[in-house]
Amino acid sequence: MSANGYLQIGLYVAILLLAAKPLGSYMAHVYEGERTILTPVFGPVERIFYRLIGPRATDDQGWKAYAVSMLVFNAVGFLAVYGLERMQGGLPLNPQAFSGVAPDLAFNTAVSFATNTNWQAYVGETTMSYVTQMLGLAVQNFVSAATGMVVVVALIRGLRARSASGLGNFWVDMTRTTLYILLPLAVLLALLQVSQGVVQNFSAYVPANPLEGGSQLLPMGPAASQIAIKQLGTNGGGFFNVNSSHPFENATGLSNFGELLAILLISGALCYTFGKMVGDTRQGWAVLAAMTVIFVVLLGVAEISEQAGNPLLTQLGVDQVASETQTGGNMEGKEVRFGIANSALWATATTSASNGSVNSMHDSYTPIGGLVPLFLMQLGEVVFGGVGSGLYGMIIFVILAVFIAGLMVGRTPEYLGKKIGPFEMKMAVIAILAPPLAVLVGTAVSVMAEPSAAAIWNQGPHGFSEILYAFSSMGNNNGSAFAGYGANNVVTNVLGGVAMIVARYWVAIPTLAIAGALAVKQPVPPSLGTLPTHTPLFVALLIGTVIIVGALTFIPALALGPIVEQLLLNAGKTF
Amino acid sequence: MVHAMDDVLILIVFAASMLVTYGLLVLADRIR
Repeated sequence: MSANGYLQIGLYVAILLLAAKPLGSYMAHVYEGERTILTPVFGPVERIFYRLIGPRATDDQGWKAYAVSMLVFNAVGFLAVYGLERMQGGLPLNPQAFSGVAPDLAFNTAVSFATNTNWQAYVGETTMSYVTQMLGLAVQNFVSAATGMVVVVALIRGLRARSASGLGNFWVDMTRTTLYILLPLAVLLALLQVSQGVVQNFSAYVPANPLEGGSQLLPMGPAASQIAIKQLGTNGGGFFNVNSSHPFENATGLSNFGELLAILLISGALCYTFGKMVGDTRQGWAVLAAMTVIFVVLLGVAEISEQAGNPLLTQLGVDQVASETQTGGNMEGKEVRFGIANSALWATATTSASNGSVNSMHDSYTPIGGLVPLFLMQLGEVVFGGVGSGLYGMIIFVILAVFIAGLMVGRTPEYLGKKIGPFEMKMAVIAILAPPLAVLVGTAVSVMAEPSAAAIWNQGPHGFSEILYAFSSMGNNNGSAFAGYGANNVVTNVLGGVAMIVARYWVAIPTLAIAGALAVKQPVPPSLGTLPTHTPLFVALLIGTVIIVGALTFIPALALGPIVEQLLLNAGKTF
Repeated sequence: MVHAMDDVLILIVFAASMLVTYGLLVLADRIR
């Protein structure tokens, strides 16, 4: 990889970490209900909204009321998107006259966007009308992201509470998240995208005559506004089928950098928000450090593997060495304008976050290069993770780590002064095991069921990786695809839809239950036996816990896919 | 007509999934 590549990656990580404090601090002000720089703009809108929903609707809620509000809100969101998809043929803003989406695909897509997964078994530019994209998908991009963020805020309030039962109010938190955090950031990013050439219009598709002859239809639409929130909200659902590989969705190097930064921006900054809200910013930095270490190490593996390329091609005389005239390495499925560095960086970022957008085709990665995004999803999307969901997933792992440490020294585990009891551990185990259950059961059923098994477009271990990737993606609310698999079949659509529901709510509900249980506990002062949770030692313990749980759960499945594929590649066979 | 039946089936699958999820909430409340 060139010095330019290293520089861009270094710049990316540096800006990401530098932004954590100012943005995290701002978000803490928002969640504390304090006045912010945007209060004069959004304050009146906020008050009108509260008046509309009624005075009782803004009362402090216990964990059950908070969780029920979340489920009801998301269920209504699902029904709205499902209805729009099914009826889009008779609705306006449909210049290409697309008919209604088939029921199983509409179900998969509606669940996908309501759960912040944004798995796409459809082709955007040939399936969805502008009204479905804007009123259905883009709206869910905002509110599903906000849902993840408010759940982690409820958990933070539970952790810092002193014998209280309330965790805040779901509707107030949703309103403030959307108005004060997501909307302004999305407007700024959308303007940057438009300035770089990303399309934003209601035009019919434009016919063009390519240089090689024939004719082509250039898709149009309100893309920039949707792309901004798709990145910031770790949604990832592309306006166009090839997502951010498309020049109308990601036009230049600068637009690429902006989109890349947006993937991890909020998730990283929320760590600081967490530290600030619990009154000890070192706790937030420790969690962010654990995330960053895992991210940087796996990024290195992906970059090295992709830069090394395919040794079988070298034997055939193909020059894969980086030089002044080419990036070298494995460029199959990658945009020349982004090269190895920005493609592997995006693949690592999009799967460490539960984003799922792509600027290159992961199916074309080398076996080990493809293993990195696969494994990052299988870790449970806690390395930065989805906005909010990544942090609450990581805090669940923190609870597991202090429990393991407690077992080692024979003391009751505690975190931030709260004793971790049997109930919290039961809930943590459910939250950690639910996504792997969805992934492994979904994969097992799909490789056996005829409609889904017949949709594999590659042979051997790479074919297995296609399905494992699909369910690792849906079963962890990521949404990216290996893209060598015909996922639009009834089995995958329905099974995948259920997997996305399990992955989202079977983690969020135990998290809220833990928040509720911790909120009523009186904090105990630290003693000699208290394990400090802000030290490098604890960061190492946390990293070890995340990696060991992920490895123990998924190495057998990975051995059947990318690991055996790499061994076969070494023996001279490629897929 | 065929699609209307499919819609009903899909909505049943969704309702069942959410009901089981709500069951987890009730279970968590009970075992506390």
